[in-house]
Amino acid sequence: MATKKFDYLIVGNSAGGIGCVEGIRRAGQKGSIAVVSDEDCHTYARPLITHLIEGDVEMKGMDFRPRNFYGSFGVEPFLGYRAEGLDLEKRSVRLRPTNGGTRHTLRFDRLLIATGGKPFIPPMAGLDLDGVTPMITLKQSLDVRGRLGRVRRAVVLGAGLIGTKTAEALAHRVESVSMVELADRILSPVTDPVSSAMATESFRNNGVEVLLNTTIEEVRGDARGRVKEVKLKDGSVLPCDLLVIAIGVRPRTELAEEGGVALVSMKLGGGIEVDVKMRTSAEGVYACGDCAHAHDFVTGGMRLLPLWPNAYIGGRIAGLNMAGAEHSHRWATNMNSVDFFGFPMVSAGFTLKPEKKGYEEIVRHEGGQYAKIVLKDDVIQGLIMAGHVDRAGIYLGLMREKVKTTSFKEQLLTDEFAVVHLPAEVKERIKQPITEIE
Amino acid sequence: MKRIYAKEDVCIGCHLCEIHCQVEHSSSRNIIKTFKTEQPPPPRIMVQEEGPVSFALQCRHCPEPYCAYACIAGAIYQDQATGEVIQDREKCIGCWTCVLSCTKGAIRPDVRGPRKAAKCDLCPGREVPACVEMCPNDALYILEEDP
Ligand SMILES: Cc1cc2nc3c(=O)[nH]c(=O)nc-3n(C[C@H](O)[C@H](O)[C@H](O)COP(=O)(O)OP(=O)(O)OC[C@H]3O[C@@H](n4cnc5c(N)ncnc54)[C@H](O)[C@@H]3O)c2cc1C
Repeated sequence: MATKKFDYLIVGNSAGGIGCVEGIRRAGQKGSIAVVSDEDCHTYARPLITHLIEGDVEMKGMDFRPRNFYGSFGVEPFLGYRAEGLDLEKRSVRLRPTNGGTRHTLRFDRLLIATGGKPFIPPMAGLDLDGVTPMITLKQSLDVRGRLGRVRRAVVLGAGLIGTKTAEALAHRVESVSMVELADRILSPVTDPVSSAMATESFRNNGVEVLLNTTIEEVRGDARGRVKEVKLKDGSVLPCDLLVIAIGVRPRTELAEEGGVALVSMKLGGGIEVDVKMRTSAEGVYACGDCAHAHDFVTGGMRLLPLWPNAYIGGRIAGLNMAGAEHSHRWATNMNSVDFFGFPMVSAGFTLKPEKKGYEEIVRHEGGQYAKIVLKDDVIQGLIMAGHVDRAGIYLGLMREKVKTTSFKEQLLTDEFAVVHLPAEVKERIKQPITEIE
Repeated sequence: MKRIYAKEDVCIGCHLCEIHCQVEHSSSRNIIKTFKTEQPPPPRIMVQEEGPVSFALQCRHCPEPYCAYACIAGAIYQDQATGEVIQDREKCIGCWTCVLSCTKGAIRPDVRGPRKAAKCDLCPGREVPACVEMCPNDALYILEEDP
């Protein structure tokens, strides 16, 4: 067993971990960095794993950074090792190889926990059958890709971001796809009824069966232990040879818990507690991404925001701060961007108008194009654009800067709306490059 | 860092910068073919008008590029030597996260073929970007800034 000491130890080799490496180096720090992941592969773009199934992205396109990344950033990668036994007194973790190899102990000055999420698996019999899988790792997507020749009918449980993306990918590759969702609409946390219905239509037009207000009650297999069919709440039965479980992710916090790093309550999602500087309750220990809470610039509160930009920027800011800078992460909110079968949709902040005083919504719906803005006292608090997404970022910027829209509210949803319509001083600022991360 | 700025007082909103941007990023690079026989690419610069005010705006190549930080594919990065914010078109999957992230509205969808985001690339291979060179009023100019 070898012991090694690093100035910076990063657990997680994904958005958060890579953001941290880049933050540390951006701050000019030359200290030693180790990156640990129990996934035995080069850093990859997790949100693209369903595209690997669809076939519009190949393995080369999965790399999140060039192959020489670790070398050029002076990082020692430990890929294929699970970090455990976090000891904050000794400032060390043990690395357990996931497929053979030597054990290590790593000591550190500063630690980033970017351990991401784990799929939520409902307590239900039959989920251990062959052909039943979550969809959050490269390995799981390669496994499904390898089965495509043998899969005729697929069922996807859950119509959130992961479920919808999986259903879209499978629709390109297998004979029939059914998506089963308990809520009364798909993508419910990031849509309103109108935009959700539009997205649903694009699924249905492309041959995906969308079943709402229902769920799977029983998963049944054949004599050889392979998934054969699912029975829904209403008693109907869907035959299938692939079942993807995509009803959500939960923060992966074992490592933090072992070390006694504070979590927020389960009621708030149970992630690692952090402040806007990405510091945890433990000195010199930072956290970001799907495993941690984050500041939401719309609500002003801390919450789980399991999204790629939040993880990357959170990691980058953690890295800057670990290297001695003083930055805050105020770039995150519930923001989503998708495209299903050529139907684009983005949303951010509140997608439904809160039933409270001062809130209003303005809507434009023409043909296949829909846009809705939620305002509070003329400050944008939420946005949905469906069927067209051009210049969506201008609204997001106004939302983040809490710009009063009173003087240009009439123009907000016109076709031409652009930076030119903003009050002079806002306009001049937005025309300039962004030079500060905050 | 090379950055393109617009002079509001001489921009008349003629949209020629958009046209020449489209030609420059077309497959033929020929103005007639681009608009007559090809599907023209979306302009990566946008002329905006409100009453007498008009100017063109394109990617600012931000030193803190939110689009690059948000890109779920690792397709946008900052060139360490030049500071330019570069998009690897091969890697782009057209998810529009960058479109939602750019507070200037300077990245747009290109849906002519496989979905791709399109943004100003400062015309690689050209001494002077097409929009700057072709503006009849010299309303666009290049500033060397640090960073
Ligand atoms: C199919 C799919 C599509 C998605 N689409 C989008 C999208 O369009 N837009 C968007 O914003 N987000 C999307 N997401 C969410 C996005 O991928 C996550 O928010 C992001 O990956 C979070 O990054 P992270 O660094 O926090 O953690 P993760 O990416 O989860 O990485 C954490 C890593 O740490 C490793 N790890 C955990 N614990 C240990 C340990 N103890 N020892 C060693 N290694 C450990 C894990 O194995 C993993 O490799 C999608 C996710 C999926 C699965």
